[in-house]
Amino acid sequence: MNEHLTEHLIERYRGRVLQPADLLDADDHLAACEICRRRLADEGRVQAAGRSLRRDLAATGLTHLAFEQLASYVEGGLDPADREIADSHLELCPQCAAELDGLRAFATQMEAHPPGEYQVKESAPGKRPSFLERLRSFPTGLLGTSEGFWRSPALGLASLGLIVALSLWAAVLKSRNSQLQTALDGTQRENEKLKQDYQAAADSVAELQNQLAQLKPPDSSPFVVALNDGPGQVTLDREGNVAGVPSEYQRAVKQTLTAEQIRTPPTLSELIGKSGVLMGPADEGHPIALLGPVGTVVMSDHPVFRWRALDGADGYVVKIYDADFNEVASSPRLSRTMWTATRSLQRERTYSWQVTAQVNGKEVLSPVKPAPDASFMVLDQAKANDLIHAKKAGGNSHLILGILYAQAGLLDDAERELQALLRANPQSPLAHKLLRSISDKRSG
Amino acid sequence: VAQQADLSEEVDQRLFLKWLWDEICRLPVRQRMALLLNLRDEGGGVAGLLPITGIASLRQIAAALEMADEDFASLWPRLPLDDASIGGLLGVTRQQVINLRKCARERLARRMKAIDEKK
Repeated sequence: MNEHLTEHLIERYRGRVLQPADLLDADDHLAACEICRRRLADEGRVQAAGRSLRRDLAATGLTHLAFEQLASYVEGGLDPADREIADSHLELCPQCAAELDGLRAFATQMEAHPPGEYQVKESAPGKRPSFLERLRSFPTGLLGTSEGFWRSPALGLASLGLIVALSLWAAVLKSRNSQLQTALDGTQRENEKLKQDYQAAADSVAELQNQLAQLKPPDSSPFVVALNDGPGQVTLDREGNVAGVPSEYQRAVKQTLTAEQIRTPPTLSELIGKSGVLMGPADEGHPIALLGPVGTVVMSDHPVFRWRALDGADGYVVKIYDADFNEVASSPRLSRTMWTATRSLQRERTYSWQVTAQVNGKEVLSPVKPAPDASFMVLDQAKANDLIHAKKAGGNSHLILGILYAQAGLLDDAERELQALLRANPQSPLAHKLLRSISDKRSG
Repeated sequence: VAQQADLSEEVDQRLFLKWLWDEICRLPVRQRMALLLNLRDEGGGVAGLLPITGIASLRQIAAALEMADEDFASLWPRLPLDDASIGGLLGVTRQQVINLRKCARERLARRMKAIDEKK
């Protein structure tokens, strides 16, 4: 994708409504284009995420393995995921690793004595009891009535081992309890501090709101229109004077702000008339939804063609026709849903295009009669030069570019600029109206 | 001075996200999935920031998760996923997803602490 993502595509990417193939196409472009990444990235959001994740990780402590997890680990009863969880924690936690070693040693001792030497409660008949079951049964054997237990020197040794292990266990638990208490105290202190910080921040916000209210201009504003635009503000006062715009564009801006709509060239109506409403979901005559260019003028003489993926399609071919329906360019077989014309098209000429999809060995063409042609016109060189100049001279003004693009018939570009203007002036009825005047043109 | 501070903060947070991505790629794949597919902060999902900051493209994220590009692109609008959905993808229980993510976070926290101590 050579050209930058359109504002329409950016919005769809942001809204997460792109189809997988289109999303991957857009992502391929983003991976190579810092300009478009900057258009998408909300720097404040990126920084907030960085700070938040960092804070979150800094507050992450170790959560120790439960006794049951350690016992199951010793007897090899963990499934692969649980085993990975345990291994991962044991790598980081010497305390749990030491407990595991203790349990392993104890299990080895127990292995030396068959379960018959002590009472096992939970084992199913005929099944060898698990280590955990044997361990749980041990206190009964230790304190119970089995004479064999006490008469066996080996089991006596094992019981001594058990007592030592339990003592160690108790010490570990005590130490862990103390650590938890310390952590809890720290958290409570932090909580108190956060409460104080929150109160201070709330006070500051209230103070700032007060100051803002005092700074607000009186209702008797000298302007009939004031729009945030790029780095500054464009205004129109009651006497009809425009400010915030280079002099060469003041007339066009004044006319637009006064009429509250943007003029488009007559050629555009013809293009839209030929194209009808093609964009959007596939329907009769458009088995493949064409995304653009349709019913618009394009700036580049190497336009980019985009369409929506068709289920089951394993390739696409784009063909461009002149006004007499002679083929003037054709793409190779494409796997993606976009193609940039490889030869330059003549400026000031009207063209139409079709895309053919190969589905299960059959060809599916779009658009087909009775659907209208997907027509577009390539902007003449002089106007293209004017627009390139305006981009530099207009000081990144979305209003100026929106007006000039629309006046040249570049609907896609005009919409993109006016959407940006609307984002900077979400409460402005005029910004809504200007954008709608372009959208209405498109929908005929 | 304020602009320089802003720029420094911007660079700092982007470097941190880059470091985080590199570290996530070093985790075992199950932990990688449990963490990345659910990665979020107070502002919502965080995985979406990776392509637009140039840290990792969708295709790179898909490769890190050992998924086909198209499969991952289909999941993209649903991110961050809930634990049950991640469990379904991994063939493990919801609790195991939680534990896998916990392990991942413990490991990342340890590495971050080691770096902070070096500074």
